[in-house]
Amino acid sequence: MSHQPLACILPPDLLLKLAQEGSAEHRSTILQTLELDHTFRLRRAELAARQLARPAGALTAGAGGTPDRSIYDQEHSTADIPGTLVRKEGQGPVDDRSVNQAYDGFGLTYKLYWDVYHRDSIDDQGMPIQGLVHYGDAYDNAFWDGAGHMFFGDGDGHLLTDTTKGLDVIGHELTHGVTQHEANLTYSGQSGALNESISDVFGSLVKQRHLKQTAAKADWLIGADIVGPELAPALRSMKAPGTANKYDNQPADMDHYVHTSSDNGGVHTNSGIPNHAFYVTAITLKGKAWEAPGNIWYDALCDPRVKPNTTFAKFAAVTLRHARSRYGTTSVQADAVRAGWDAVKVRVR
Amino acid sequence: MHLKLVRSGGFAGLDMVATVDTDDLPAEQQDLVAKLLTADLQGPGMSRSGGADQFSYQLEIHHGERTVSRHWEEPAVPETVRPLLAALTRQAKPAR
Repeated sequence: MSHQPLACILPPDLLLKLAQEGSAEHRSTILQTLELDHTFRLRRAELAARQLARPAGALTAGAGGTPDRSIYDQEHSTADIPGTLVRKEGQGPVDDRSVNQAYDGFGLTYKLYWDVYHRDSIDDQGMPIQGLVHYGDAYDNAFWDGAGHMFFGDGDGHLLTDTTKGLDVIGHELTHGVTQHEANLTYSGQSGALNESISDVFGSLVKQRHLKQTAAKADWLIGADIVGPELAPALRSMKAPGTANKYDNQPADMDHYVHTSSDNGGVHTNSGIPNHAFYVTAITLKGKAWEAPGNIWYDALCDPRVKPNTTFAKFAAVTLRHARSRYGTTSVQADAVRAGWDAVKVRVR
Repeated sequence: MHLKLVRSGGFAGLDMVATVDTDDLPAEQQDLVAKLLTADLQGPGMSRSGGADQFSYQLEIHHGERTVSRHWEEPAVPETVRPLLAALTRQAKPAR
């Protein structure tokens, strides 16, 4: 790319404006500059993210198989530290549905990871699972903070409702922690979309396993239990990306990859592509998606060849490698993985 | 003055956009907007790396010929700015 000294000293928002108003040639150069600048900042952030602080008590983990859950009531504040501890591991239900839903959802997520993938919590060393509910006022979101905490808003009732109602949402957020401890995928562009997709995949698998659904029986929707009327019937569809609600613009293949500066380069948009690859893999194999397809995706996530800046194509190659090593080079599982990536037009080398 | 807020990110991945005339805001929020024209108020810490699904906010303040942009990412949103962002978000509509 040609060097643009002017572009290098300008803030990103002004660069974006110039890109919108400039010629096609200038637009292309400016967008490349923005991407490069973002990449440098993310590389620095990535190094810091691997040094994830372990909450107190994390080193007392036993032999595994039992989660260590704590649910805190944020009482509608936006404080970024845990509020009042309202339910901890082993305690019975309390008079707050959100607290109990978070507690139960974390338990089911822990069980998927332990029973099927033999992983002991977020860091595979029994890390405490901390859920912070009633975050903010009518807050339309749930998120992972990168420091061991999962926050859940109550929703405004129009876009979203209580986000703890979604078992797939809880599985999604906890999986962001797993990803941070494994591939630590940079939250931008393709690696960011892959990060989001992996959370959708394992969030969906927690729900499918709980409901005892085969791939054919599952609805493959994300967020169906937390949407309000404006976003009904769901936030995303792994089966048919782009069809979940009237605003859903997820692509289903690489021909329709969305280039945008919004949402860290469309991480929640382009995740539709690897989401659909997983769906096709699972539906081709017909059985329970958390078994062979889930194992292959989990193996790939934990493979050191999957680096923070991994592209869809690189991740696809690693999934195929694991399908072959786990089930055989000419296995139906390997063929299904290839069919999955073929369907979304990601070339697997 | 006119304000344009874009909230992006979040688990839903939905951009929300609000366009507001500052005359329609309460006096204390008008004062805050005036302060934001000259001061880039930021929270006590940087947003933490490794996080996911957090909101980011882009606020454009249009004052005559001048446009000033301010950007915040959860959870590093200053408490002084939160009420303004919450008020604008209540008026925001999905962008796509």
